Amino acid sequence: MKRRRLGLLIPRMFHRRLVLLVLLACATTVVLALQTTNLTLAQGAALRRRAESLLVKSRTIATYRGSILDRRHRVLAFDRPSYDVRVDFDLLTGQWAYRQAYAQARRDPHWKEADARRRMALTASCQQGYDLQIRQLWQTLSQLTATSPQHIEQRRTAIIQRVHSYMLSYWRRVLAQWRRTFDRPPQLRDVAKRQVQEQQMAHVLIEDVDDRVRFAIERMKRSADQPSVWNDVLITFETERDQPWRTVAVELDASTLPSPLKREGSLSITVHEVGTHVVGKMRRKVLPDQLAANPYAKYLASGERAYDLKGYQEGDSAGLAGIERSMEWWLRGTRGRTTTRWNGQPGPRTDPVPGQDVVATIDIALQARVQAIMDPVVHGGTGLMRAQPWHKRPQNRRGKPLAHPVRDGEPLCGAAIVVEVESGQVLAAVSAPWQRPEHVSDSTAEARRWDLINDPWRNRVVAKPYPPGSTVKPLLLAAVYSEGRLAGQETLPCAPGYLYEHDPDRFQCWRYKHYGIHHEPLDGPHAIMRSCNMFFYQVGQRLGWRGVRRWLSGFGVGHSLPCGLLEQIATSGATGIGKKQAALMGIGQGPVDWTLLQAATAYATLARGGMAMPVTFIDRPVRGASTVHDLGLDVQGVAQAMQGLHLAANHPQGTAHHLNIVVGQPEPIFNIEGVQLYAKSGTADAPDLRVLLPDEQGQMVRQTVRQGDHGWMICLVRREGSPRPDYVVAAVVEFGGSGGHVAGPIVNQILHAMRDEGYM
Amino acid sequence: MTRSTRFKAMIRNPAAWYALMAAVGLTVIGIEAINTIDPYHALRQSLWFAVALVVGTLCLMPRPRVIGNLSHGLLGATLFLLLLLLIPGVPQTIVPTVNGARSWIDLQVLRLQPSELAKIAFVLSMAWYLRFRQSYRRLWGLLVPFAICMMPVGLILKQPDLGTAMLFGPTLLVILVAAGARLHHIMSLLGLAIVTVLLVVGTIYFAPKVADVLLKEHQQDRFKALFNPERYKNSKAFQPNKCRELIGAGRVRGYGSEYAAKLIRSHRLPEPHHDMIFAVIVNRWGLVGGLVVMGLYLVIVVSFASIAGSSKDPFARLVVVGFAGMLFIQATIHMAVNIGLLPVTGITLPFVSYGGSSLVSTLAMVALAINLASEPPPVPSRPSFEFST
Repeated sequence: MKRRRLGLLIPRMFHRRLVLLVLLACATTVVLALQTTNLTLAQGAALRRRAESLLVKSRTIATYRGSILDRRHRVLAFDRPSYDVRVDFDLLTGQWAYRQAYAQARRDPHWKEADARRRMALTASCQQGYDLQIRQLWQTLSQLTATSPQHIEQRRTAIIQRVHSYMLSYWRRVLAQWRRTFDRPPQLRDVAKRQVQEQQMAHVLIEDVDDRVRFAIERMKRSADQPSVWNDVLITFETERDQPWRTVAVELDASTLPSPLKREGSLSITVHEVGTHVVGKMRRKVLPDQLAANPYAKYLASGERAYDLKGYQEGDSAGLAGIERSMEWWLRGTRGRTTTRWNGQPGPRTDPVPGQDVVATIDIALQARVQAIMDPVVHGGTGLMRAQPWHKRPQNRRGKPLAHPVRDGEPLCGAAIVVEVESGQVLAAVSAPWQRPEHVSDSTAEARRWDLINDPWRNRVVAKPYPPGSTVKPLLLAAVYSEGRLAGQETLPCAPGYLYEHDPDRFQCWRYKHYGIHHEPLDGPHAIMRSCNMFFYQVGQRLGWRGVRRWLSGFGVGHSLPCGLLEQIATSGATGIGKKQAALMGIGQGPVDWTLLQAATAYATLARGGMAMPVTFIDRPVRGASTVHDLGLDVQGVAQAMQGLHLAANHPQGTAHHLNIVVGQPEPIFNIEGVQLYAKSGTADAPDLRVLLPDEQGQMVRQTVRQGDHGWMICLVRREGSPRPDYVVAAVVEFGGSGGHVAGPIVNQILHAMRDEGYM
Repeated sequence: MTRSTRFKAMIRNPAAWYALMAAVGLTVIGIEAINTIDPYHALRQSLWFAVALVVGTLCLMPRPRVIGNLSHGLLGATLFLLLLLLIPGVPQTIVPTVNGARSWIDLQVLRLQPSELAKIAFVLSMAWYLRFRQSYRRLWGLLVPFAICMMPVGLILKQPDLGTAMLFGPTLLVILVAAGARLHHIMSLLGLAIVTVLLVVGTIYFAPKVADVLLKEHQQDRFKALFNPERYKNSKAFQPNKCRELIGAGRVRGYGSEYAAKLIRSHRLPEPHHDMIFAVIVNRWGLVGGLVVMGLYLVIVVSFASIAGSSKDPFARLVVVGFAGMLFIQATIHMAVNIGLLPVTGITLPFVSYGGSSLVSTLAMVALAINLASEPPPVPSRPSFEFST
């Protein structure tokens, strides 16, 4: 019916088909018009904003990083303005000379009629002068910046090699893409004409030059003829991070050292890299993950570009370690930004905001002294961090001789910390070693091996777990009294096989193992003084494994403490289960470990009578409210533990009282006067140090390199007139041997250093 | 009928004038749009416009019957030129590779694009073949027209020039519809084509290994960019994304010449004077400019339809409809790509985009249409393409 009506209206079929086609065309045009309208009207505003943002040229304005100060407001790290000399890539490769020569040759009147060979000859004759200019440029830069020509040549070669590797990688990608797309290999010119960005930019040839060089180069650029090499030399403003206390000369009184090391007069020691683990270092280039997490520019979901002026750009520097890393966001300034519209009119401007200063809790002078005491790699030092024959290192374990004991004279690794009890602030923290010895060069296999064994880049104070050994005993004594599981004057026996008849060898006192005799029944304070293992096995049993874990956890063991350094680790803490492990944990062996920081935190808590607060490296800005909480230690329990510590340091039978260097002639560990000392030594059975090292065939094999005991000494110091201890001084020496013998003299020297710096 | 009488008939046909004016209008808009981004190319396009007018005038000369008699020969010659492009070993000086495609023959003074010539030859040849036949009214009868169509399409695809090759199939359908082919046959073929395209697109997402066999990586990328422009805005969808941005930024009246030039340059839009010229037009003259261009294409379509409708010669009818279809389909695909409705195909906007061969061939189409319309049918003439259903 419909068709008939249409037939009447348009009788010819061809005309009907034409109408149909025209209507189809109209409908298609309507669809196109609607979508164009949608884009220009509905989405027009957003798309115009996005499009116009490209016409605004922006330039960032450099800012300064905040400084790091010590507790006495001495500047430890600051930004110093400097300049880099950048040279165009074509100049580095010498291509600049060819380009200039070619341009000059083309102006020759004979160029047009010359054949290819003649043109090459013309170009070559012009190039000699430009090559000479480039050679003179390197000489001038060498003289101006006092840089050796060899160094400039090495740097130039390194840049060219790096850019060539980028080009090669890019061309490979282009080639692969081309083959996928066109099923045939491209012509050389199709690939080679594509350049990587690095080929078109200037590269840093000489870093950190001063104003004098800058002005000299700018003068050369101004007076240069056209064309001149100086037109492709740039001076860019940078900042260099300086650490004025990086190297410090220290005088130490050698007369207070143990008798084999004692000398008249003082020791002059130059300490390098002072405070390096605490203050930290800068990375010249920001890491990719930091760049991805906080980029300077990013696209929003709407497609617009947003700028975070504090974000990272390629080539930014960032904190690598220590406070520089942990306080990165505080120290890092916010760069400024100027914008210019397409017609040259200035757009919105944001001024830069410098980074904020950070005040560290360390005293850099004390830090330098402690580093001087503990420097294991410098010859002519105190010798305290080198293995000595009187350190009482074990030569066998369970009846078998040690295969890899530390030999006499070898440098030792370890750490020390000084904490102010009242504030919980760290006055000094040293992780030794902190640098390679001079005889180990930078890039050799020997250096790699040395690094793997000695791990100089790790901050041992916060980032290395150690078995605590006997140093854990005072804490558990206070705990067992607080739980009422040990009466005030109660004594416990020390007899072989007393605890477990079927395991008599395992649970014995150290005294019985060494000398075949045991202690008389001891009360708490005397058990600490004598460091009786049998007593503390029983303390562990009385507290139970849950009790030991709970109390040590309360003291901060096994926790990540808000100390202000990101390097710190939580450690496993006390993880033992069952009666036997509870007994082992009672003497600080078995499944229990802590860092030196956690040890100092625990002792500071004990010194405060059970008031726990985090130990920190940062004074300002204060990061959140300081959390102080009461562990609920019994006053009597704390008093018993403190009495035990006092006896250990001051009683002739105390384990932290004297050194047995010559049999029958004990000499005191601590020879400082005018202060009250509460100390506990510890000698912890340590797991072997096994590291991946190359064997004779060059295969990486895990090898045992050191065996023995870690030596501990933790000392609470009370100044005259103070109601309670003022400082915690703790030291641990890896595979050093007896705690009293190896770590004790170090703590003693630190006490002298504190006195010299006015802390006592 | 004398030559002068034919010219008078041409001049008196208002539809021919409208078509010519629309074509000239589009060319002028094109030159100005090219001038916005590249004055040098605009100058060259102006010269090509002059050449195209001369060629167009020449196309008015021969009688339609002569053109018809030459049509198969012309297609044969074009196929030979297309074949020449594909012969391995032909030196680059004769067949240069531009953007990875061997689509041009370098005649030193100009570069000839045989595929542009193939568009004209194909329509002429097809019209000459179908003018008195009725075989295409049966489904199997469609086989021969499609076989003829596949010859230039296959050769152009090998260049590779997918954009141009895509035009031939739809143009054939338009010619067949006008010639009176059964609509359900055409709809079936169209449905089959749509299902095939959907299946191919589906393989990209659900069977990537099969898609690797069917499509090249960059072709798959274009579909991905169409369906997910935000995700690939800086990679696969860079070109369509920038294109949409520039079109949207044009708003209603567009920017001035200077600002538009800066904006387009800052966007680093690839091929702005070829494949993306519609974006340049809308950015420069806004929605108004875009609608004017669409309107001018519609004027050409309606004018050609009017010329075809008033003609009694079956060959002329099909040629004019074929040219209208070819021009409109090409323009539609170009604009749809620019506004993000179709994946990037690399197709130019007739009369507007930069390109000598393209401009000459499109103006030649207009001239041939006017020429064919001027010839009265032989007396007595039998009715053409008149079927009951």
